[in-house]
Amino acid sequence: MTVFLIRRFTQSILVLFLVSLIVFIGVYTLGNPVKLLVDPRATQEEVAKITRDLGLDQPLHIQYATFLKSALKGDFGNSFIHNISAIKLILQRLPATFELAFVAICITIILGIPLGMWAGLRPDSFAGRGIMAGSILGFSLPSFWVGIMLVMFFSVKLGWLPTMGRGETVALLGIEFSIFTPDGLKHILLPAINLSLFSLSLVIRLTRAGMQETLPLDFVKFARAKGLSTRRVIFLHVMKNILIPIVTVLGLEFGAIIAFAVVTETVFAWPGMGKLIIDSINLLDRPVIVAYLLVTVTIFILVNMVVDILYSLLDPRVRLGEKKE
Amino acid sequence: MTREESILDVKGLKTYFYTRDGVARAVDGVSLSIQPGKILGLVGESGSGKSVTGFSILGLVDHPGRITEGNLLFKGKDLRKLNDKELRDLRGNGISMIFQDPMMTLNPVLRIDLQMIEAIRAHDRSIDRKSAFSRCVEALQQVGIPEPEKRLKAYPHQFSGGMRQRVAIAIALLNKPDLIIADEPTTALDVTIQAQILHEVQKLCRENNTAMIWITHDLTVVAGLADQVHVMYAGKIVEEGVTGDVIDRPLHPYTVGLIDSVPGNNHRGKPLKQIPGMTPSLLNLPEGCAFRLRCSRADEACSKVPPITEPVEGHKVCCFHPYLPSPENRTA
Amino acid sequence: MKQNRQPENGKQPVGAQSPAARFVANFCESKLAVIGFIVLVLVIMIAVLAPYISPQNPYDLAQIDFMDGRLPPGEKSPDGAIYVLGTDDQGRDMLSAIFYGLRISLGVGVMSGLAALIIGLTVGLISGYFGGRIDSVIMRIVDIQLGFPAILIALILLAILGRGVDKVVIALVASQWVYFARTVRSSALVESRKEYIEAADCLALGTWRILLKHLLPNCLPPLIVVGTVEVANAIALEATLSFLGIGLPITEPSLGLLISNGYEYMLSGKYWISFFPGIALLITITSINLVADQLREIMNPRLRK
Repeated sequence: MTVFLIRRFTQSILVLFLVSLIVFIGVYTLGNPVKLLVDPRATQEEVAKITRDLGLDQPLHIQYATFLKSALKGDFGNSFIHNISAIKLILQRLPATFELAFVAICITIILGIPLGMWAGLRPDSFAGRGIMAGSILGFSLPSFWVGIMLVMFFSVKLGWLPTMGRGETVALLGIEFSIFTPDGLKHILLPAINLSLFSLSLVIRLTRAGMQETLPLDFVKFARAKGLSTRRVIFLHVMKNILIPIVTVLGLEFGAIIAFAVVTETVFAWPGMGKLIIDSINLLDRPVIVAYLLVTVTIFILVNMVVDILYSLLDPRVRLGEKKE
Repeated sequence: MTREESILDVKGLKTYFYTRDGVARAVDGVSLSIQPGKILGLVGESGSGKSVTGFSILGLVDHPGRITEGNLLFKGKDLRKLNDKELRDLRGNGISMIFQDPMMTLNPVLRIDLQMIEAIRAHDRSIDRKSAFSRCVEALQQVGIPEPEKRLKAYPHQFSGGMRQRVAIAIALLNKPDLIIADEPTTALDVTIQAQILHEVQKLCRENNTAMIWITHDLTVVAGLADQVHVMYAGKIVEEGVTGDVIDRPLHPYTVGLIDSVPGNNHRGKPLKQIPGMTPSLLNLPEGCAFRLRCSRADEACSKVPPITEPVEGHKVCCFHPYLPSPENRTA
Repeated sequence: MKQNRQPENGKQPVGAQSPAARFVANFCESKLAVIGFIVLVLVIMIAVLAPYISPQNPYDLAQIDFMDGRLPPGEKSPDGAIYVLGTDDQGRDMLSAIFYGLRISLGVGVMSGLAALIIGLTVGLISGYFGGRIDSVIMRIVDIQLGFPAILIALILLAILGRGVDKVVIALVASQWVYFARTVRSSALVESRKEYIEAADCLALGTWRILLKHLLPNCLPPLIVVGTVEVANAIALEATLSFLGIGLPITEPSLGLLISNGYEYMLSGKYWISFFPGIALLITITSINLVADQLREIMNPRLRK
């Protein structure tokens, strides 16, 4: 286990380093932010001064070394636009995105697993077919368009739910939360549903496929032949087997949801870091772009690690230390 | 045959599978009865409906299969009239079952102790985990598993095939059932382990006075184990009787074919005998006697369903042209 | 056996029912897939024939009238033409805009799907056939990239590259080639261990000949399935990126841009400007997915009952 963690950790550092290099070179060699920053009527000298101030006149490897040194201290430079520390800007927006992602993953689990089980137990029933058709739709529907439609229907047409923003928030441990106020809950509902749609469809399909694969196995029949209740057979014997792939996918989906929050946050004007990155890309706000990408990649690496550990806890046949390369 | 009170009485059992391609008559009018402490061998090729017979008794026939007709009397109770709860109480308690593939019968992600204790507590909630655990230890000892306390904490993948089957047998024996249905429990095992397990099962059944239905395709297993043999073909019992009678003086051409195709019964150097043709699809059985297309004795009469006759006392057969016990009939 | 090949796969052994006919028969087993296929053909035809069947050329300024802006569906213009799906803020006929948008969306999707296929195929074949160190390096890269969702990869690249059709295609290809590479590699790995490849090796046939003539055809069935799915994904991803404003430039109004353009009017109840392009997008993606689902079904012998 420790061996595994150490190896995993070094590998993660390597990936982070590589990503930082690619992103840095990419972002810093293409496009010139100075042009965006200064007044079009500025003189050559003024442009040169700003370039110097931002350190953009240095050769690339020097720039990267400077960048890496301060990045290790958690400093990605100041946002060109907002003029505050880029990492601070990201961290300010992070809780909103996490809150949204958390609610979305909860919806996925609470709805996805039971629906998938139902569809797996009664594949030929009307409900079973309906659930599967719905999940195909969930795969095919582009998430931004669904978001728009949700706004159109529930907000514009019915007027039940607000269209944008986080609504009223309440501070807990210095972090603002929407889910603890009635108004905030109303605001988070539509974006969270929108964000969960894809992973919901995925979990439904996965659960159903798992049920259909596991139910005909001998050990299920044997469990029934022991006189166990149907509930125990399905919720313990079958579920524990299906849960292994589901947990893996849920972990990976949490990462994907964070990435897809970019779309949902744009549609619902949710003030998270996804919205921030789109604005920053459009404004060529390099420090924020780089900080966002590295923060996101770190989240991904952490999530993948947690998934691997959970996997070994759920499946007795997997021992992390002995895992083959 | 002694008319002792039988523990299980099956009469005219029909289990059909309603598939998209038609109705498969997997079990088509099977009758059998078994007395306490006796072992009944149910012999047939794969697809002959012997496993489905076992599942039907426990009410474990999966969709799209259904018991359409017949009586299942267990200790005088009609099993078909039981509700779900009563059926559950019966499974693993009154009747338990052992499956063919030991690699598949235990849940791979649950520990052995959990899988054994739940089998006890499913039928008696008043037993606490501790005493349930010690009963499991005993049961494992009975089937010859060393260091049972330690092994109980293990997962199935840490056992060999033979050991797993012993665990499965121990689970089947946990609640001292009156009847065990064993569905080819030794087929997937090595011959030496098969012999050990056969021996132990036989001993345990005698000790506990447990009746057993031993489902197999292997006549040699039945010969040394069972008190009675039923031979099944395409969903029907074609011959039944005391083991010695059926093995030594078979009546049905199919049974004769089965016995002749056992390698040991042929003289060395002679080609091995076989039954021509293939097991027919259950969806597409010939009219009348299902065996007639593979049978050397078949004639026009066989296109009608043959009656069940009892040419020798206690030895029944379902055939128009059985090998009656007169010397000129046995042409080898 | 791998008998279910695409009809255009050419030379099939003579005799028996031709595999192409069997393929068609198998495909038609699912009514939904047939409907999907018909719809898809229609969509493709609309995209190809857009200039000839559209009521107007929505990007010819002479043909659009600013006064007709934001008319609801079914409304008549002063000169008598009926806007079946309404008009956008510029007075463009939405139906025509959708036909033209379909052209761009499908074009970008198919183009990047094909490019990703070719790159993934090459890399996958090399990885699977040669194995060893090349294989482990390539697969490590693929594994790492597969750990991140496609949209994030595209986002990173577009953040670096900026906007433009070529850049969107590059971003789509870069985020999708791994799916092809992984698929091809695994079937190439299975195939290259089979005897006929060993036999070809023993005959000292050239490496490229073995790769292209023997290995490639056997990797095709799974590749076709992945290819279909990935074209649908590319279309959806392009629409998403365009909606976010980091995809195609406004000079290339794909369906995603049309939706994005209509979003601001939707809050005031003028739903049709984003609604109908979305429906067109949905129909396109769903029909491709339905076809892909059935292809997967018939090409996977393990799933066939």
